[in-house]
Amino acid sequence: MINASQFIRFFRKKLVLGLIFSASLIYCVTTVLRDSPGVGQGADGSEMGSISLPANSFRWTTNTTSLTCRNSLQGPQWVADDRGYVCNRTLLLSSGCCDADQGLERYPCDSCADGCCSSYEFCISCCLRPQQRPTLERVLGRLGRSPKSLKLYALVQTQFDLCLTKCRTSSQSVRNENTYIDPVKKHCFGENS
Amino acid sequence: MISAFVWSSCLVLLQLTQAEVRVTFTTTTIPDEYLVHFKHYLLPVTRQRYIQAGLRDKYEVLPRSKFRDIASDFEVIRYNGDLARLRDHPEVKYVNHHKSVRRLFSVINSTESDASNEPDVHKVKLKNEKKSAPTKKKRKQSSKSYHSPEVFMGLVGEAHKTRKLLRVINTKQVTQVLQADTLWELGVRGKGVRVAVFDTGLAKSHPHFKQIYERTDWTNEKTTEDGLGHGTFVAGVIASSHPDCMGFAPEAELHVFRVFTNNQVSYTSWFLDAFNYAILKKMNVLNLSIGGPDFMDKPFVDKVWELTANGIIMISAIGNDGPLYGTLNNPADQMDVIGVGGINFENEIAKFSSRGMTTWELPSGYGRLKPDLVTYGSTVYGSAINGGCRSLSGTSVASPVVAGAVTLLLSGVLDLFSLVNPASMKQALLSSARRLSGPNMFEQGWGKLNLIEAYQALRAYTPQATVSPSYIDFTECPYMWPYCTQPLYHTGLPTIVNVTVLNGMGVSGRFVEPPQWKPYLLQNGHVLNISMSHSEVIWPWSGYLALHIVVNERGAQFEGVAQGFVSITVESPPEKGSDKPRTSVVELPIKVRVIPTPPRHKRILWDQFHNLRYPPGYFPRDNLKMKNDPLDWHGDHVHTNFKELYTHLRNTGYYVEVLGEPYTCFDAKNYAVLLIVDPEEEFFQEEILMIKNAVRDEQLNIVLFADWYNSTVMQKVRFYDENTRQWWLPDTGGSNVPALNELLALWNITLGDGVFEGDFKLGKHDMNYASGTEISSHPKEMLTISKKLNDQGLEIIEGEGANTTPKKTQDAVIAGILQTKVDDRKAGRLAVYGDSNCLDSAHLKRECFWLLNAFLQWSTTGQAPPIFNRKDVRPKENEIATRSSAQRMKGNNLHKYSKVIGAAGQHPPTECRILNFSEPVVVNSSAPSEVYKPQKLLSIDLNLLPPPVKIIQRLDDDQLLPNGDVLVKQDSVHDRALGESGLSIPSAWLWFLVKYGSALLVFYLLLRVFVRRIIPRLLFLGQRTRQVTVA
Repeated sequence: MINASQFIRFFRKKLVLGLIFSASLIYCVTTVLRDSPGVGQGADGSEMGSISLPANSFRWTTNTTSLTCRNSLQGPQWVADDRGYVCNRTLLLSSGCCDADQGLERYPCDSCADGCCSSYEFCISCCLRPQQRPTLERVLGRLGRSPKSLKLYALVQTQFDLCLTKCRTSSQSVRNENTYIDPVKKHCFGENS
Repeated sequence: MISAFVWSSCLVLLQLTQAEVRVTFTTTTIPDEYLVHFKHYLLPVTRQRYIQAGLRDKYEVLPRSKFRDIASDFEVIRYNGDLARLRDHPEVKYVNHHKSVRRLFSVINSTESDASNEPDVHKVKLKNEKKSAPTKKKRKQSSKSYHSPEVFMGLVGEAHKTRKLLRVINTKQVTQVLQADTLWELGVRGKGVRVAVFDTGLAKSHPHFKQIYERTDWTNEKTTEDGLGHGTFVAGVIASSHPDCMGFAPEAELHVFRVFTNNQVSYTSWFLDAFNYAILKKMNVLNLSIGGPDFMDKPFVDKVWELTANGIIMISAIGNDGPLYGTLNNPADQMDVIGVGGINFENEIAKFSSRGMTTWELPSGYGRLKPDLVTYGSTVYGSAINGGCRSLSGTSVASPVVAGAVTLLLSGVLDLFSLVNPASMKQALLSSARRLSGPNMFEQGWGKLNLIEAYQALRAYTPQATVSPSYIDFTECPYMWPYCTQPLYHTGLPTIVNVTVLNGMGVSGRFVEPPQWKPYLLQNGHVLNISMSHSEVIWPWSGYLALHIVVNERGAQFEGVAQGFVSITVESPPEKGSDKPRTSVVELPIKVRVIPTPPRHKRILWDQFHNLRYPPGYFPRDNLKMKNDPLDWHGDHVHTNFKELYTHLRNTGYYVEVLGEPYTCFDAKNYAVLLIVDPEEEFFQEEILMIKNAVRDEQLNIVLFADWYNSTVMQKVRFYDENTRQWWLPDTGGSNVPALNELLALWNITLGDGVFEGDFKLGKHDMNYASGTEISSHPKEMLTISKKLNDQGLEIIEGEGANTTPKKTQDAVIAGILQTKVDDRKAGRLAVYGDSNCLDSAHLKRECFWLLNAFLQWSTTGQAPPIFNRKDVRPKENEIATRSSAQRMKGNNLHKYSKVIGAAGQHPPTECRILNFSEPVVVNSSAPSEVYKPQKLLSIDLNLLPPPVKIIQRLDDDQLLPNGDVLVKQDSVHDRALGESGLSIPSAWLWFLVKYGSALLVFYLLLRVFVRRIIPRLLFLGQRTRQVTVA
């Protein structure tokens, strides 16, 4: 019993309480600093600074002038340009634009359902639809949870960039690593993945 | 120095296994000859200058012809005078008398007495590996470094199927050997090229690197530092600027992607995100010294296609699983990737380098030519993790050598940037590669990287399509192995050549018209029929063209060489600024040796259709003792892991054909023997019926090498797969014994579910039974052999503890031969052996090709091999009856991977292939005498020195990129990262102080209250209760 009362008295000393306080303060500050993403060192340890999304220079506008276009480049047969047209490579003009005079539909969503498409190119054109903006804003808003995605979308400047990147298959598209969650509709711009 | 030299020489040569070599040497000092040893590795010119500075009088440098142009740390001089000044030179370490050394090797038995008391005698235990003479060894790594364990050596760990860092096994300035300095002198040093290194990371301020542009981490370890040394080394080979271990492109923009952890783990999902980032950042070159056997990892393979489709030149290591065939790693085995194999500085294929055709196309097709090319990958000097240089080996090293060379080449053709893409770069590298004289095409690809000629090829490049291999010559050995090992004949199954089309004109292309077969009339081309199939779309940058070659009726009696060529036209959509599509016509010369159809008793049919492998399913290895390599992943083809068997059969005079279709698709009249080795696939009912008829009516003989199957053992060998994060249960045993039993039921033979193992003697041959089955019941007239073997199944089922108890042995019938009869008329013969391990080059313990020969002899002549002696090998009847036959494991996933059964039962039988032969367009002229044209792309004289090139700065960075458009300027990202992290910290501190400071204040107050009020009360309560109890 004597020991217990001594113990209590020991704890009442201001010095001891102060020590406890400062120790926990230091611990708290250091752990919070280390874990907090977007401040100082990124959570992934890379030299990425804090990122505000969408990027400062982000523009929701899509290409309206039809002089030159950027396009999706990669596809075996289809190409999506930044105006929202999808065409066969044979209809691709030297400007990089799809030949819209050939009666192409703008912003086609063929093969898409619930924000996921089976074709990368149609995913892009569907994602470029102006009415997708609220969806895409929600998608961008959720990125903060994943530092790896942050890294990717930090470089995005236009809606076309965003759609190019979002429609690619990613870590969110696979199950058990070596299989797609949905082998058909694997290109998604929506929130599903 | 000298003793170090000799000591390392002791490791030299010899391919002995368990003998010791005594090396004695005597040394004599040579008058007036000195060894000047410098502190650094210096070029000859510099060495001369230093020596000149130290010596007043005339001296003579003794020539060392082999190292004339190579940096060295010593020089041998003949000089008669005072050496004091030279010794004082700041760059000179020491000057010694030159000694002549005489070495005497003598191989002795290990029982001989130790000779340690004799002076100047070293005893060296020889390795089971061939080590070539160290021509110039650096002191630090004499014999020691050879043994020093590398952290990443034992990478294999649990499974071969994980994607792994291609280990770097444990020297030389590779840049000098490849003459990179010629380009450096032109001012080409890698500037303006973005190169991505996907590896284990890199230290932020490693002294060897001028500009590490960015480091990103894609693992779960929250660091970008390299904990293994693999990433540092690979990055060093590409971009180091340290004079002792120069990289190829020291001024390239280095982007480090950390995708492999210190625990050697990596996941497909990490790669997907990292690859996306690389596309977004518009990398030009990407090195991946990582690989795995899972080419069916669809998300990964798709992503690699996407990557190259975006114009990123991807270079990957072919794997370190040699010298076994069928060991190519993904993604290096992809058409759009440059797959690199390794050679040593003696221009021999490194033993570790993976080789053999690709196995994606099996069983119905045939593999593609890989690796694409080879380069130095053995004892190469590169950056070490601690800031120094070190020597390492592995295809992990060879890959960055090519990646560094590609980076350097790109920076030398910035003015031609729009022409450079993954295909044109590959075309330039392949067309300029120097072929090595010994190895075949599935070992060396197009040959050895030649940097300077690749540069010239690239400068002279015009967009075009090419094919790999660029010609097919069945008469050229050994390069055209295996095509050169067996001639074609009428009625033979088609010989398949899988040609890769590289299209430098655009990411997407197509065959304009069906490929045409153009036989030379004068060269008997008309005896050949060729059927061609090809990719619908040539994408990305590449496609396939498969030739099925057969000899038609006109060639039934023909003996000689038939020649012709296949002509293809490839078209790509117009390039930017043009309206016309581009086309390219490629001619593929074909030269085939034809013989009259050999007699039936010489013809063997290899069953490929029933061999299943990893990927996709878990088909366990046939030898259960090989725990660290549990998967059967080499393809089980006569040109992969059964290559030795194929060579043996060919040498014995048999003709081997490969059946990639069900048994219903071949004519039994043509073959003496159907050879079934280690089948995992089920059998169609139609196939069993066909075999029954063929054996009965056509006298077809069957030789079967089975393997183990026991469902309890299969449950035991399941494992947790780190890669897919799920438990893996085998889909069959070593082979599919229950399916085989359905076939063997035709003759009342049953294979059991026992798993046996052990050594024994068969005739005068030592044999090893490595996890095999037994014949559990058979008809009386079958001649059998039974042996006392360990019950390995029981050992595995009872677990580890059982190892201490004496092994349980049992009599097991391991082999049997049977003459089938129909109403006393002799029909086909059967030969069965319970283990296939002795034919398989993978994990081969003791080969039994002699047994196969005996079986073939029995099949073709009816002469029972002497080892089958009725008297002493007949097992007791009652014992056989007690054995159980193998039963299918419940809940196995074989139906997912089988071509025969599905979840709902058996499929209708696979349709037999119908070949549509291309209508021959006869060429009425003579074939060129030489089919092989080594420099297809080049149009300039290679002997000329490279033309001086004005290096064009990439001003309009974005437009010149082959990737097309661009999102962000590189620099801005880099700067922003620095700037923002600097800015954000003070405000963050303020925020934290406010937010967490207040929280802590509350916490402090609560603590005070707790300590002052609540604790005493609690203690008081405790006191009172105690008092009560006392009372």
